[in-house]
Amino acid sequence: MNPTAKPAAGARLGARGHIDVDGVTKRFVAARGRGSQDVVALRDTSFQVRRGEFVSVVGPSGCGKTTLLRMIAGLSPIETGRILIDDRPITGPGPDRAVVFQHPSLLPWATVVDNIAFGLRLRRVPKSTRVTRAHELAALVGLTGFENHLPGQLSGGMQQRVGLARALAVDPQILLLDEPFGALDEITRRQMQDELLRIWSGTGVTSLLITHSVDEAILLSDRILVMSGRPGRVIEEISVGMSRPRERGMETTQEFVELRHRIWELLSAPVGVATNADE
Amino acid sequence: MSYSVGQSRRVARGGGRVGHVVVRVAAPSIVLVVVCLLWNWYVHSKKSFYLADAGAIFRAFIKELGDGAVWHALWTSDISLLIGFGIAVAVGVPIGLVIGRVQRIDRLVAPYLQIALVTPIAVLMPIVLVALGLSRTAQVVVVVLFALPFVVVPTRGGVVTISRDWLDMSAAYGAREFQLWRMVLIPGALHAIVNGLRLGFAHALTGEITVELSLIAIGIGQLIIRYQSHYQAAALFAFVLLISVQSIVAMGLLSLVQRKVRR
Repeated sequence: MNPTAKPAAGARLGARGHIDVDGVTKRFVAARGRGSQDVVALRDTSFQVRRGEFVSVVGPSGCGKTTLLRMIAGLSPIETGRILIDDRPITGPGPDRAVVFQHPSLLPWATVVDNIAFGLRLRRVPKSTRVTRAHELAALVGLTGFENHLPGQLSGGMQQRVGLARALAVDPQILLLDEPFGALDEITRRQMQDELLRIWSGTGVTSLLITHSVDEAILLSDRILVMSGRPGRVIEEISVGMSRPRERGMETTQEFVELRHRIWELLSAPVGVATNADE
Repeated sequence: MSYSVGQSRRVARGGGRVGHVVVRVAAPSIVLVVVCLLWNWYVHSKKSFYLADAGAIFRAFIKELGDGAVWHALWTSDISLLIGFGIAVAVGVPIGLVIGRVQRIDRLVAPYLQIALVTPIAVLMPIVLVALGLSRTAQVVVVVLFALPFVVVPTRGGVVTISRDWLDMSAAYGAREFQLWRMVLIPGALHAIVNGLRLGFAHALTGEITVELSLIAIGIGQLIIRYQSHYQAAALFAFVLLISVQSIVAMGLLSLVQRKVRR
């Protein structure tokens, strides 16, 4: 199957998806009296993510990818445009979404089990239930035997597994992944990608991945959103038609190579720097 | 005979332990002996009525350990110290936590906190004395004034320096404010809070001894004055040594607690 690509910039939404991002613009206002100008991180960004779909966002540094994810997570306010989850506008973080951060952000004084159960404890799930669930998730991400370890006793990859397990523990409808493997070495990164593929295919949770890695995006995604440089907006949506389950070795297939080439072409466009002067 | 890797490691660690003991015990002991010898040389060369050599001080120290009057004097002062320090902790930790979290209150309090940190609190003692008289209450207030800023500032620092990642993560998982306090802010700031307790206790102790020696002598101050007026140099030095030992033990216990809660 050949990859299909379609322009997406400024497209307004038709049928509703699981996540609907509609005309979102994000401006960071400069501190007063410092002589600096406002920064437009995102401009008129629109796209949809369907239920059960795995979508990746790739783009140059500073194009607003993480800002976009933070807005969908409810961690950053939406000033212009709107973001809907199941047709309901986002007003803040919600139990339907879980985030895996680039830095695992584990609580260093809490064991692996307690870190995994963090979200469940916030939701007042009884202790016995959350401990059982945390042990299940620890096993799912390959941390059996490390349940009572502290984060400081784990490697970077293992810490990120805890972060992933913590997100899955709350049984989210949407998994938001903010460059979760960006800080890992190449070998660990590939292992984690395989783990994520395996876990995602088991849960089918709607997933939005922010990544710098084109190969990672192709390997994991149903669809890839390519963003322009700042101010970021989706310049192209690319469907990855390759069949699942995805396996190692597919990186050498013609289809994969063509996709990679196409995305790199889009990403190689000159990076703009937008300030309020551009408005 | 051959050693396994594990065995040779144990041997290496054993040698290390001996080295550790030498550094931690033997070296300070040598310093102590040298200081005592120098002190004795000084005392004997001066031939002063107000001085006692190390041997006499040590004998007086042993004697004082069994002297009820000494322990009574210590305890009389310690009551003020404990009440004052307790109040400083009960008030200072919540203040530190709140100003660390709420920027508006922080801005309001910060200038006064800076003033409290740089002002020698001893200069306030006469004012406290005028207001409250020669009383235990005045002693307690002085101890609180000495300790409070040093409890508040590290506690505030502990909250302010909580990782932004933890706060974001907690928000993303829907933590409410009180859950954030219970599960992230207080555990995350605990090390700094205990550090504040340690610093606060050291300053409370300074406050207690200062007020006893300069204005309100009801415990250790009274005993020191008695030893001075009776020219009991050995007893006086031994008593100062006992106060030091008490302080070292208290600070050691707080350091142990701090080590337990280290992030």
